[in-house]
Parts: sequence; structure tokens; C-alpha cells
Amino acid sequence: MIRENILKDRTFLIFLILGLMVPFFIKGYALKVAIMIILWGIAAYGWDVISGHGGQLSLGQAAFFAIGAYSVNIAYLSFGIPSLIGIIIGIVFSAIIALAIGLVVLRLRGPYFTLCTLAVGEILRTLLIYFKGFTGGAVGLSFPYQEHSFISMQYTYDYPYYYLGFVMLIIAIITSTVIKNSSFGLKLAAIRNDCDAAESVGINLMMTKSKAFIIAAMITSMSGSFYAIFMNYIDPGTVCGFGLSVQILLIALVGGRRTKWGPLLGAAILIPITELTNAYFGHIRSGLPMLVYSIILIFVVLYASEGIVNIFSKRFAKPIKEEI
Amino acid sequence: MSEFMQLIVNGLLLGGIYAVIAAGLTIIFGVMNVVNFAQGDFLMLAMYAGFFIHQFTGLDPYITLILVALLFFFFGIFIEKSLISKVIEGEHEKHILLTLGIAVFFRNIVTVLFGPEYKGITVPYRFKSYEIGNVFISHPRLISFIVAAILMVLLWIFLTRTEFGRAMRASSENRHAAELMGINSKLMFVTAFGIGIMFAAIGGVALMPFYYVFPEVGVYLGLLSFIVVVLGGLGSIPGAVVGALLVGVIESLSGEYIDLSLSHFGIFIIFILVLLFKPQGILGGEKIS
Repeated sequence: MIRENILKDRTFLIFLILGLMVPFFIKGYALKVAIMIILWGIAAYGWDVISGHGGQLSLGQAAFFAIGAYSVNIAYLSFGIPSLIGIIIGIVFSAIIALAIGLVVLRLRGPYFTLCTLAVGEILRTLLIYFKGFTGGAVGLSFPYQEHSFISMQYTYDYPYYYLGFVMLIIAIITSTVIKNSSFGLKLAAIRNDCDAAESVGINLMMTKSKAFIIAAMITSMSGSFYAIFMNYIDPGTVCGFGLSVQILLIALVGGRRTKWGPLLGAAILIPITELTNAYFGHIRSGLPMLVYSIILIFVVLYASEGIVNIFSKRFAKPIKEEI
Repeated sequence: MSEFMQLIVNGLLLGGIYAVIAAGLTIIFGVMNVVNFAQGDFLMLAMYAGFFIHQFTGLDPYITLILVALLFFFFGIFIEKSLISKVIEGEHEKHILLTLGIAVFFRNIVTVLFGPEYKGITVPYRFKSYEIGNVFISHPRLISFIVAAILMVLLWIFLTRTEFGRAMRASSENRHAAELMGINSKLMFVTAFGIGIMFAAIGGVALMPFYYVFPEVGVYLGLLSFIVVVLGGLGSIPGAVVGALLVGVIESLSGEYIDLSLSHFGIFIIFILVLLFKPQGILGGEKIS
């Protein structure tokens, strides 16, 4: 296999520099879209750890997104904890929950695992609606309006959000690349290809899968926290819905799983489509963005299951066709 | 005590319909080895079809049921031919993603066309019921249960007493051996999917006299039918019946004694427990028999 040092990767450095300069060139609505791309990109990198690298198809990633989102809001609203610390609380909390849930669901394979993660998401949503005292029930939570507050991370302009998201995105990309190039990534690849064979050569299945599940949960939680900070408003239907899990999955799938740029590229393609359909047809009917998504999903499964990165650019991302 | 009995009866009556929906899912899995994530959404589409046929013709939902069943048998065949057959040789992951895409498509095309509102039909016998001892049996629920029971018996006869049904069972036991015996497995796949979707459709229309129709209605019912199938053992039809009645009763009891908003919660927990401790299902993991 090819080992690579991400800090010596020229594409990555160019991306870093260009990424930092984005707010100087684009403003207003375009910057908002850029932030959304980053936000969903982070979530897709999280999903990619367990379902791309690990090959365990999760449909419950929304649960960790919701934990991140609610952690920030509850920490600030109920305890007055600054939002930046709320993000970390969310990450820690997600890791603990992922460890506990993982002990149960990671014993299962294939469709059973997928079904179980689906049930986990639904259970969390039921609980979020039920415990109204903390979570605001089905109505949800919102930050009270403040002008320029570092504590609750509220600003009237968008670039602080952009940089917060960009830092998270870099963390997610580096994590993904480090995993791919580590022995841990190789173990995941072995499990993905044949988990019985992997076990027979001495790979601890539960340990390896749990690690991947926890890392995935932490990254997804981060994106959920970012969502709560940027949107100012969360409710169980939006942040813990089945639709959100599908959206995360689709972004990584369209871009290309197990690639350095795939999830971000997927977000860069799909998020503008959502924004456009919402802008032009959103007032007519809800459901249109998801309709477009479903058509793309069917198309991708039938004709492009390797993702766009792997089709269009051999140079951009080194093909990661089973390299063991 | 009579309240408890009432809940049990309600649960069993609803469980009968769950059995039909789950039988469809289990046939598809047993014969094709495809986990159909769109089962609940086919059901939802059938409910909309039933709703509109009722609106335009005023026919009784139990009569439209026959029409919708036929329609969805062929719709299932169409979907299998045009989409599912393209990935059937692939891995489970592809099946899941494709059926997921179909599910999300149905859900949202209905939202876009008809809006997210709840729709319902009113039948004159909606609140009619019979009193036996201290237990009330609702007329529409009883009829739906009888329809479900007849259907399950017919399915049983089809699978065990007809040449085609036997071929289908052989195909689900061992596809390659069946092919060597001259069974056309492609034909079996198409028929199994058609029947599976038809059962989802019948289950959906049978629910209509006492259930609302809305785009998300299949999400919960689909998940529920998975739980039923896993409880009974994937691929086992007697298992699906037992699992369905059990789920109906658990749902009814936990909705009353825990909290209505947590009625799904009890089922999910039991689902996860069964997956953990007896993943082959409570009746063991036989194939269709």
C-alpha cells in the first residue's frame, strides 16, 4: 500500500490556503452555501469512517448528529456553558453513547446492523420528543437572539462560522486520511472485505469496529454541533430524522467513499442542488430536495457505486480499490 | 382485567394485518435474498391508491382491496424487472441502498404530488363493534383480520400444495440446486417480488378503514414489519405470523401501560434484544415452509 503524509500532500496544502481565503472572495448567500457544504461534508466524513472504511452500513448517523446539536444547545441554555465547550461535551458524549450502542449493534452483520442503527435513530428521536423538559419536545430548541456573542457563538456576519466549520472540516479530512494510511485502516479494510477471514488472522473484530464507530460518532457529532450553532434552531424531526441519515449517506456515496476528497465533493455537488430546489420550488411543495436525492441515489447505486471522485479524477484521489 | 383483555384482542387483530405485510417481506427475502427497505413505502403507495379509488368511485375499501392487490402485483413485477434485477447479483449493501432509494422516492413523490397532510376515508361501519363478554371487537378490525387470515391460508396452500409454490420454496432453499432441477430462478424472483409487494399493498388497504394515510405512514409500518420478520426468523412464514401477533400485542400493551408516545419504544427494545440473543428468530431460522 501507498503511505502518504498528508502535510506533504500538495493538493491538501493548496486546498488549505484556498479554503482559508474563501470568505475574502464570496459573501452573502454564496458564503452561506459554502458553510452548508462544509457542514454536510464533515458529517459525511464521519459516516465514511464506519460505513466507508469499515464497510458497516449505518442508517443511524442522525442520532450522533442530534447528540452534537442538542449538547451545544442544552449546555448553553440550561447550564450557560459556552458553545465551544458544548461542542467538546457533545463529542465526548457521542463517544460514550457510541461505545455503549456499539457493544450491542456491532455484533450484528450486514442488513441486521443497518436495521439496528435505523432503530437506534428512531429510539433517540422518540426520547428527544418525550423528555420535553430538556429538549423542548417536538418543538425543539433555539438560541435567544443576541448580537455578537462569543459565548453562544452568535454573529450577524457569516465568516466566523465559516472558519469554525473549516477547522472542523480539516480535522475530519486529516482523520480520514490518517485512518486510511494506518494499520487500523488496513484492519478495517480486512473486515470490510471478509470479516471471518479478518478474524482468523487475529484481528479483534469488536475492538476495531468499535473504534471506527466511535470515531465516526465523534465527527458526526461535531457537524451536529456546528449545525446547531449556525442554524440557531434545532428540532427532533430535522436533526434526528431518517432523512438526515439518508442525506449524510448519499453525500459520501455520491462523492466516493474511502477517498480523501469524496465526501466534500459529494457535499459540493448535492448541497447546491438542495439549495436551488428549495429556492425555486420550496414554496410549492416540501419533499422536492429529497425526491431529487432519491433519484440520484438510485442512479448512483445502479451506475456509479464507486462515487464521482473515482470516475472523473484518477489524479485527484489515488484510487483505493482494495489495496491489500 | 377486562381492559387487559381488550388490549390483547386489539393487539391480536392488528397483528393479523402486520402478519400479511411481514409475510410479503419474508417471501422477498426468502426467495431473492433481498432485504426490501421499501416494503413500508409500497404499502403507503397502496394506501394512497386505495384512498383515491375510494374517493372517485365510492367503493368499499374491502372491494378496492382486490383491485389494488392486482395493480400492485404488476407494479412489483415492474419494479423488479426495471430496478431490482440489476443489482440482485450484488451484495446486500447494494440491495439496501437501492430499495432505500426507491423508498425515499415514493415517500417524496407522494409528498410533492398530494402534500404532507393526513388523509382518511370514512366508512359507515367505522365505529361499529361487537361485545363479547367485557371485550369490544371493532367491526372493521375484525373484517381486516379475517381478510388477513384468509390470505395467509391461501399463501400457505400456494406454497405447499401447488407446483409453482413448491418450485419457489425449492428456490429459496437452494437457488443453484433448484436451477439444476430446471427451475427458472429469474421467474421465481419476479413472482416473489410481485407477491411480496401485493401483500404489502393488501396490508395497507386493510388498514385503511381505521388508519390515516400520509407520506410517512410506511416508515413506521415498514420498520415494524422488519421487527416482525426478525422476531419470527427471516424467511419463515409461520414465524412471521407468530412475530406479528406478538408485536401487535406488545405495541398495544406498551401504548397503554407505559406511554402512548413511547409505544414504539417497547418494540424497538425487544427488537434489539432478539437480534442480540436469538438472531435466528423465536421460531428458528427456517426458510419459507
